[in-house]
Amino acid sequence: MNALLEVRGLSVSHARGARRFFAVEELDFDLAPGEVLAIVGESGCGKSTLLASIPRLFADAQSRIDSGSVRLAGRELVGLSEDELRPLRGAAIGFVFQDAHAALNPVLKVGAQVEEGLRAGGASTLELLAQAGLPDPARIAASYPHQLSGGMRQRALVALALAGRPQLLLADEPTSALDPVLGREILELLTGACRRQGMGLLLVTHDIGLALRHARRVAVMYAGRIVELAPAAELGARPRHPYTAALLAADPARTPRGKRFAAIPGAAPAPLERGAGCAFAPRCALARERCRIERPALVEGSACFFPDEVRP
Amino acid sequence: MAAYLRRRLAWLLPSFLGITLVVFLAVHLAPGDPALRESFDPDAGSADAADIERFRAEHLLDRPLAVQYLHFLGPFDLSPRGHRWFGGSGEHAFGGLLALDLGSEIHRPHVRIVDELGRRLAVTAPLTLAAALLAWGIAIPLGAWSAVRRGQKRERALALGLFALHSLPGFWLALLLVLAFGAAGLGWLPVLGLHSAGAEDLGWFEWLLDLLLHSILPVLALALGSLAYLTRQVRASMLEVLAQEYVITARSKGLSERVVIGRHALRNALLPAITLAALILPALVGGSVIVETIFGLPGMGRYAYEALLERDYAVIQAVTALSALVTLLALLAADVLYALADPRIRHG
Amino acid sequence: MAELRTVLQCWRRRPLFWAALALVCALHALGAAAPLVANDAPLWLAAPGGARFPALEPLNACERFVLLLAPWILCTPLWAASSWRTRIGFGWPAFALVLALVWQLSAGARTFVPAGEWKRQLGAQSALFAPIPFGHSETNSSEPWRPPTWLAASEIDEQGHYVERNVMGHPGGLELPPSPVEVRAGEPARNAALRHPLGTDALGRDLAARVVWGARNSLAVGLASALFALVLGTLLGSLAGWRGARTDLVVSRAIELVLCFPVLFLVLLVVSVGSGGVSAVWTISGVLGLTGWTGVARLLRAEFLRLREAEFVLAARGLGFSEWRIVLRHALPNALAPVIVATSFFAGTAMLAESAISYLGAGLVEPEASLGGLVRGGTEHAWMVIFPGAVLALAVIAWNLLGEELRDLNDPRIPGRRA
Repeated sequence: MNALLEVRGLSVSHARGARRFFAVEELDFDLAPGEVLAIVGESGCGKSTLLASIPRLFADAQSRIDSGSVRLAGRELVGLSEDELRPLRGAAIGFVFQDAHAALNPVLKVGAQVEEGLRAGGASTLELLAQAGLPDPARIAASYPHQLSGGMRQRALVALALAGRPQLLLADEPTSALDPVLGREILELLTGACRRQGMGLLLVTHDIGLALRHARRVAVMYAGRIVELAPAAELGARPRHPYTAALLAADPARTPRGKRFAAIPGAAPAPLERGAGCAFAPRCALARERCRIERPALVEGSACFFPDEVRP
Repeated sequence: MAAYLRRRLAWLLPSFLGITLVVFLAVHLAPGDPALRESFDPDAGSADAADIERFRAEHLLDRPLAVQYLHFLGPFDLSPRGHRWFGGSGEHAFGGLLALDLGSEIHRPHVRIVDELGRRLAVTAPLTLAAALLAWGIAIPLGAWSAVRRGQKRERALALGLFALHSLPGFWLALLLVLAFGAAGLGWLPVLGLHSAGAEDLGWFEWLLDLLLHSILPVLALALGSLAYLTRQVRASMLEVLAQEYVITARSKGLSERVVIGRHALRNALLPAITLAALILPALVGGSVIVETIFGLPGMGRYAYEALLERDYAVIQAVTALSALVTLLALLAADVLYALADPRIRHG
Repeated sequence: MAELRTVLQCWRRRPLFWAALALVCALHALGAAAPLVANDAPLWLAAPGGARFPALEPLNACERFVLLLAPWILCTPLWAASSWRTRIGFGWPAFALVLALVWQLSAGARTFVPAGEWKRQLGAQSALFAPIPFGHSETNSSEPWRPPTWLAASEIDEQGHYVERNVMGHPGGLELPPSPVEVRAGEPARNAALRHPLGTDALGRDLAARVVWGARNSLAVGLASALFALVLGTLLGSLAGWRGARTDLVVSRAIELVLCFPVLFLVLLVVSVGSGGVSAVWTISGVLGLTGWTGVARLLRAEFLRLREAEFVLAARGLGFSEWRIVLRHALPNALAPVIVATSFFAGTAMLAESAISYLGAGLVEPEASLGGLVRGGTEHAWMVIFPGAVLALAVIAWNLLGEELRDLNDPRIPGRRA
């Protein structure tokens, strides 16, 4: 089956003052049509940057893709000019943002904002809003963002992202700002749309439990690289990277009652501090001399020299 | 929004009183005795006591401050010639700001300031309006462009130029324009007055053209004074908006950059400009004093200057009060417009 | 030595800031040292009874103090780059200078020596004159409206005719019969290029000398207004932000009110009523200060409103510190940075306002003219307009640049920020 999205050796860098640093380094993964791939990691691991780099929607003009390839349905995106890439945004790639309050223009009506992304021949604005689970779409469409509740705004944002009938949907922590019940509804909305329309969904989250529940495959990122990539069931039962195991152990939802929450000691290295060797080594219980000198490549879904020693 | 507007309107009266109080106090608390000065006889080398007394009585300078303020405010005239209820002769029953009577010129008591102001405003109002339109007309596109092209060489050069323009004295700019384009320099444009000599004999089209030519330099001089500041404000506002996430959302829909900037960014960035337009009114009016004096235009600013030369504080008082009150109303109008333009306030 | 190296490192990291600071200090030092820069009396005279310093004799104590501080001001960029202790140790004289400069402007009484007197009395003694050997009110009726002497058009022959018939800007109005140029003792030759590098005005006074003294006055008014606005704005702004509620309401309305007034009109109003003996400096600084406090007040109000709920304030309150102590030692230092920025900008604005007022004749006029008043003296002549205006523009640019750089320094989003 042809992959919808093929990423090979992607490296993205940001600028801070005069210095550049890599937010994402040498990423490789595929996404099939209709598949949900979750990307999990803590803050600063580069997952949001990865998402932004696909349609090149960087917040800072100084950020850029340094190397690698991103193919959407066979078409190379890296190296396209702005004029060539623009038609793909919205129509081929949809983006769901985290903070619906900030992501909607306060002076334009919600309906108008959804309408802007509509593609000819697709569903109408009202239909999209209804599909997003909004009751009384006509009233919502005539309202301004500040008049809606947080949940309604997020649904409107989903409708906006789906307006162009994209093949690929990128969701950057779409539920982090919502309560769990609402969050689950939104995620089911997204995954449902994927199933029905055959879209690929790249879901970024910091909550590994959420990832395991809703995604088919999970990629774990650490310090700008993928450290494990496996089907969700396998990853949850038998993690093959110490960081994944640590994340699972630290998930409050999986901590049995009465037991203390586990935390991962230390902190992730700042982008400019990453040296040679495995980035997780300083915090890893299994770390050995080899880990500090040589960086493990992603082999059979795990970037660890000792994947079999990992205990869940 | 109704509550917001009601609150703003409620402050109108105290602000109005506050402005009149400030103008009044500026005259009456300033060190200096106009009675002494007006009655001073250069030949005699001193002032006649009777003259001083008469001046004081006429202008109520011997009454308590509160009474003077009430006389200034109106609508009743409290002077010896004023309303009968207050012991006056009844000749001139009503006066003061509330009666729209701004008094007479000190040296020419037969000239009512209100009448003269009306004549002068016919020059100043179009001048100020044209300058404001020109300044905004350049500032908005320039500021927006400057924000979008931030950091590029051309933008940095522009920023430098604007910075220099912002630091230049307004009267200096006007004088340089006169030197450059006037008879002493290139001689392209007239620099004195609103009409050439013998303009009454021209046909209406030539008359209009003559007027326009005379207006170019004054309007330009007045606009340049605010241009730099306005452009920088628009740029700052635009930069703030461009950093917002809804701009990225707009881009993610595949909209062209022109639509993103024009429809999404600019609408938000220009909201503060509504209030700013009212706030720069005092600066424009102040600038009009300089420009009208240099270019010899018979406007309100020049009126104030002439009054200064004659030490006619009644005129300047009237002009100051009028300007401040107009600005107050403009600020109120701006607030209303802002409330209408920003849906967050319109629909509470 | 190590201190100097740190200083140089500081300069290299933010060159624009130090350039702006150096410019502001240089201008103020020049103004402070005006008696030594442009004076018709010699700086040093070998008299029979010993050396004399005629330039310094008419100065009162205040002015001598100001003169002393000039080199101190010049070195500000050096000590401003050092530690806080050094800054305070060296900074207070600069502050004293500000007050002294302002005070001496209004202190009228000083020993009056008619301009040019020393030159007339100078015999064969050796004397050292100031770099600009002309006084600011030294008239010379033999060369009115003379263009800058480095221009070929300014050349005058021995009979007093201009060598080139078409002299730039020579007015057709006052046709004085040409007379030989009177060159007094200590002055450069008649056609020396640097005799009057900026030209002369209607009374033959050297414009360069008047620009130096005019700059001194303009800078002083700018500083005085800025200080006044700073004090008033700090008081009102902190009150409004700290007390909140009703005080805030009153102060905010007051700010709105003040913003409605065209400042120029208010000054004209006050001047037209009459100054009654109060020096024009105080009148103008007073009105400018009374209308300029709004910027600082708004900033402080915002900061204090924010700081009121800040944790360290709550902690201080919890420890039982008095209100005043919290405000002065904890809240105010945090709020100070934007206030200094605003004051720097306002100093420039005040200078522009004062020059406009003086141009109209309502401010500092003859004989203690400011830069605006100098332009008033001769608007048809290019050099009379260009040079004073350029110096004024330079001063304002310096203040504005300093303000911008200070703002960038304190902005956490911009790299290279000093802690």
